[in-house]
Amino acid sequence: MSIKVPANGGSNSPERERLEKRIAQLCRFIGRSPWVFHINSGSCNGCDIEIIAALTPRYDAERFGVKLVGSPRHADILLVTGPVTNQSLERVKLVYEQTPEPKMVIAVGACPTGGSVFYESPFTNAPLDNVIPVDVYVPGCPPRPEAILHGVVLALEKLAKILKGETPGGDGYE
Amino acid sequence: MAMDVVGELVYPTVGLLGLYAFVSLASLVWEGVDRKLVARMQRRIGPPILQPLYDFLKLSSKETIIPSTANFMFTAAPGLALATAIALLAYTPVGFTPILASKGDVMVFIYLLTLIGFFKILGAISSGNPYAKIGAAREATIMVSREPAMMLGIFAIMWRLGKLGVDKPFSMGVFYVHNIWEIGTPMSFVGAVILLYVFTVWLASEIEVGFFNIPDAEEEIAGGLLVEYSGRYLALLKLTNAMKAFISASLVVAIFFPWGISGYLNLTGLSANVVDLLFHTLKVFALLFFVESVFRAVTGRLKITQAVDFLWKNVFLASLVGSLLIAMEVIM
Repeated sequence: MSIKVPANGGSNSPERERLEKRIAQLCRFIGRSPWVFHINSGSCNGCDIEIIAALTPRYDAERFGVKLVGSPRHADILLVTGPVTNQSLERVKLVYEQTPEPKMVIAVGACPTGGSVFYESPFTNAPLDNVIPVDVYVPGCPPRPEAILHGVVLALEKLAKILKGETPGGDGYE
Repeated sequence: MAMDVVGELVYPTVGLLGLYAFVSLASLVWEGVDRKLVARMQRRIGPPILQPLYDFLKLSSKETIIPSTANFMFTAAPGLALATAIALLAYTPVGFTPILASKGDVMVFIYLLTLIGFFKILGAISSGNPYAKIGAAREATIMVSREPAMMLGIFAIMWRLGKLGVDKPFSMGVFYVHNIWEIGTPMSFVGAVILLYVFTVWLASEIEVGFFNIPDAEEEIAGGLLVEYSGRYLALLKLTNAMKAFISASLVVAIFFPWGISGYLNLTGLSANVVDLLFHTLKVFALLFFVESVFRAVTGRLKITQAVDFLWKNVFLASLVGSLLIAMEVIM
């Protein structure tokens, strides 16, 4: 039941208002249970450990409804780590396509953000936004768990804005 | 002779719908309580109590992807599983005699309970995903291993209680006429305690927690049976799972702790049913606290071969011994 709001047709029509109201309602629940899926695109495991750290009892991301799921089909947020090596390139694209809308992509760590030490390496495809649309960047090598949680919050705020039609959609490839 | 339409059709239907609304809400709330309790056991704050409700609403508002490899049963299975769970409610003892209780309906109860698992398996193997197929194979394996112990136990108990004199033998309403502790001999008491062990392990394997979280193993087979489901269908399956946990726990509560409180409060009719239902729900939550929350907080997943070994060599044997003990003085 994904809802498509017409891009610029009839900006004040009751139909649009109704849809916007509906979307704001739906968005409330997505904000309350963001399920994340972790994609490792050739990461060194530094960021992966920090993601796990964000889910440990000390930070307890589950209190915000965040859950790490095993399948991209269940996910709302994709956490991508690593410099997108040639071997993982097609997999990253595939996982992105297999995730149901609405979805958010967070690039975790220096590698997917800008390439880090693999910058201009022929075997990697960093930064990640060359491959799939990215909504939030969390820099750091590795980033602190607090930074990752902050990234998730930023992604949800952005999602709320996109769904309400305040910012253009995250998918720049449409 | 004209059928009593209101008495035989309208009241049961309205009762079933009311029961469905209550059980689906109560089972989702229980899931939230369970997650909160496990979080507290791990020194965490944990999600809000209504978290499963938010998850359900979110999932039902998301896009539903149907894989190109899936066939018709993939889309039909979640609805069929939920419909089976709703039908099952008409035969579930929930503090009072079930709505459609009749002679021999224990067969229908067991049939519908396993049918839920069957539809889940059917949906999973229709998705065309290898992980789902592994999950389906595991679910089928664990299902044929856990049900014989339960069936042997429940038939022995029903048969023994029938000997105490009931109107409708082998009906789910029997537990509210006589209960297992009333048989009275020391041997039958030992047998009842052994069967309590059998049924709690069966309950844990039915709701697949702790040792038995094998078919849906998120970390190793990516969610197993549920791997290809998204959006609405996933929401339906999550709701079905929550209701199945409530229904399975209801069976154990009805067999071993059937006592209601409406008798002490001098209530009759509908108000008595409502009070008994609420008290029954409390008992189900208390049972699930031990069998689900504590069990899942202190144990990890077994391998499927270990689980099958455990269910046959330990639980089934215990069921055999317990059944013989409670049936002993009638046989000899």
